[in-house]
Parts: sequence; C-alpha cells; structure tokens
Amino acid sequence: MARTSFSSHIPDFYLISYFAENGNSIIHRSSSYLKFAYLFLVILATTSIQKTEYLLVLFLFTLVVYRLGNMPLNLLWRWYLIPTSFIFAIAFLFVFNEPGIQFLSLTVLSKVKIQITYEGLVLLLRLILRTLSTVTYSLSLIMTTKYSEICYIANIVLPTPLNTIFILAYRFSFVVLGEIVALLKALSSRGGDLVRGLMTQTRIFGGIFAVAFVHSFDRAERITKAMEARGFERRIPTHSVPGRPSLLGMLILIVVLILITYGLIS
Amino acid sequence: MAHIHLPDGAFTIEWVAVWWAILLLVLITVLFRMRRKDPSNLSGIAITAMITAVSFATFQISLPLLGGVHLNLTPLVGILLGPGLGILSVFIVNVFSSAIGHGGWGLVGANSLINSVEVSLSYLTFRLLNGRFGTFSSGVGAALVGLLAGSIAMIVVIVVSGIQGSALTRSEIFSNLILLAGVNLFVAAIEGTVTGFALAYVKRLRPDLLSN
Repeated sequence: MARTSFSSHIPDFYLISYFAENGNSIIHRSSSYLKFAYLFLVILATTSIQKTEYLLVLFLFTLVVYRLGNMPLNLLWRWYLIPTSFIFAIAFLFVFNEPGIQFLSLTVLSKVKIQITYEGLVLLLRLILRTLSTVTYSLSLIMTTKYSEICYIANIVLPTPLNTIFILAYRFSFVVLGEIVALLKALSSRGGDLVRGLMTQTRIFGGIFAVAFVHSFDRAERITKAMEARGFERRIPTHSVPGRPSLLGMLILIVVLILITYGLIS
Repeated sequence: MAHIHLPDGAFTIEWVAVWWAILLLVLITVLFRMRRKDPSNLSGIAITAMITAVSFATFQISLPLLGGVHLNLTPLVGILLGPGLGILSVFIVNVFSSAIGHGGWGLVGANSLINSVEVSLSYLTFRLLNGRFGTFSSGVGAALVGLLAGSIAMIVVIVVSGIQGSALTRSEIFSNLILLAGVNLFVAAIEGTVTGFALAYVKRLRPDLLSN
C-alpha cells in the first residue's frame, strides 16, 4: 500500500482505511459497539487515573491492542510526534516551575539559574502517558473498524443533520485528499516545490487550497441535486449493522467501568 | 499549526464535562436555529460536509514553510460558511482529528469551542472589512483576528480549567502559556496570509461565494 499523504508524522487516511477494510485480526473481528465502548473507558481512565504506574499499564494495554490488530509500530512512533508536541507546547514550562523537589539545577550565563523539579517531570510524563494511551487506542479503533460500521454508529449517535455532515465529510475526505495530493504532485512536477520565498510559497498554497474549496462548493451543489432527486429524507441510510458484542467483552467492560467509577467516588 | 489541539488527560474529568456541556448547548442552539430557518437545508448540509472534508484534508498536508506547518484553515471555513454552519464543521473536524490522535476525544468540547471562536470572529471581521479593503487584506485581517481570539480563548480555557496534576496557580499557568501564544501568533501570520491568498483566488473564480 503506497502512502499518499505528504507528511510521515500524520496518519494517512488511505492507509488507515486499507487496514480497516482488509485486516482480519482478533480486534478487526470484535464488535464495533464494544470497541467504541472501550474507547469511552480508555478516555475515562486516562482522565481519572492519577498514579504513574497505572497510567503506564494503561498505555501498555493500548499498545497490546494495537499490536493485536496487526498494525505497524514503526508508523505509530512517527504518528506520536504531533500529539507529543501538543503536550510539550502546553506543559513544557511546567517542568521548570512546578513546585517540588529539585531534580536538576543549571546556571546559565553565570547568572540565570534554571531548575527542573521532580514533580514537573512526573507531570509531563503523566500527560504523555495519558495522551499516548488514547492516541494509540483511537488509532487501533479506526484502523480495525470498517468505514460502513463507523458510519452506522455515527448515524445512530449524532443528531440530524450532524450525522449526514459526518458521513458525507468522512466519505469525501478521501476524494478531497486525493485531489489536493494530485495538485501538489502537479505543482512538484512543474518544479513548483523548488520555489523559495515565504510570500511566493504561501501564494502557491493559498491557490491550491482555494481550488480545493471552490471544487468542494461545486461538488456540494451536485450532491444537493442528487440528494433532492433521490428524495432525501433527513438521514442517509446505513445498513452495515455491527456484530453483537461478545459476553466476555461485555463482562470485562462492566467490571472495568465499576472499578473506574469506584476509584472516582473513593 | 496556529492552534493547539488540547490532548486527553490535560484537564480533570469535571472540566472535561463542563466544556462538553457548553459545546452541546452551542450545538443545540445552532441546530435549533437551522431547523427553524429551513427544516431541510440540503444545500447547507452538503456544503458544510464538503468544506469539512477540505478542512480536514488540508490539515494532513505539511506545508514546507518554516520547516513544516499544518493549517486547519478555520478562519477560511468561517468566512465561507458563516458562524452557524462553521461551528458544525469545526465540531466534525475535531471528531476526525481526535480519531487520528490530534486532540483528545474528551477535549473535543474545549477544542471545538476554541475553534468556534475563530470561525465566528473571522466571519464577522471579514464582513466588516470586506468592501472597505481588498479581499486579500480583509482575509488576512479576519484570519489574524480570529486566530488571535482563538489563542486567547485557548489560554482562558487552560487557565480556568488548570492542568491536571499541577500545583501551579492560575496566574503561573497564564505566564507559562504566554510564550505559547507568541509562537501561535507567528504561525497565525502564515495561516492569515494563506487565507488572504485563498480568498483572493476564490473571488476570481467564484465571486458569488463571498457575496452570499
């Protein structure tokens, strides 16, 4: 499967879809309802667990789920880059001024004293574990759940017309991404990527994005006419009903939910 | 990128619930007003879906500017769709982004509210400036105002909620985030310029999209 996205650190939608549609692992065969319910549990756990060792266990659990889905770890490390950069953007300075035991102290330019606290490092580590746990599980979920089943669940969960917007946007994300990638390839083949200068480059990319936006309006007009012609009734019909959850899966779900709720209350 | 997608675990469960509740109220209001105005609004739904697809797809492209930036183009989405449909669009983009790990599922509420500020203010500023200034200048100005307001909204959201596990006071958290706002504004300048050029291009191809 060739990667078509222009960024190695952003999950490629085509690749995600390829894994979801063609995989046959135990996670692929699990009920989509159950996978979404576990997503809720992972979010609840990452938000409420406070002990670093428990967060580490949770992260390892999500990694095991990811590997059970037969998905590539070498891509996952690269995909961690942006979520990790978000954490650093928010919490990096906390390492230096979070009150607590001094871990390291440096004197810069013989005057300015910088100190790193143990509590600050733990805070950063916890945030990284929390974030990467949900990222890993979330990627496992969409890389093992068929497009049609995601649309079916979105159709049930989201109110009208958000469900229609979701389904159409999801479907056409592939088309639009393909179109933008084709425009970028065309630009590159004409030597456009050799152009230097901030203003020239922003003008080029502004033009490419404008084309994509204008095409999306044209496409929307055609879709509206097609929907009207078919007698659209507020909801796009979805027929791929996900399989029923297994008894064991439900049992684990309930036990973990009780444990987290108990932990939250106590 | 011009704004940070807050990750899961950054806020306590109470604040996650609060931001979700506010977002749900905003979404219900938008949906209610939409239905009252035009119960079917097929073209609005289709346009929002397509713009959402473009916004999400453009985010996946790394622009080779200053070592690589990713743009959501929320101001452009706001200018083209307006605040109501724009808010629906940024909500769906945030759901998609969470699915690929950019922003937490629990923080879709906070992230969507921040983006809603960007969308709404960019739209209003563009309406105010367009006609008095050229399309490019109005687009740049509107995007910068929207993204600046988005940055402020993000800082307010973080300062009010606090970072989970941190013992820092609100004023200390605020001073930590000022640097982040500075970096954000630098990238916002690029996003603003891209928005300006894109709008100038849209005006040449489809002027009707900016007049409606």
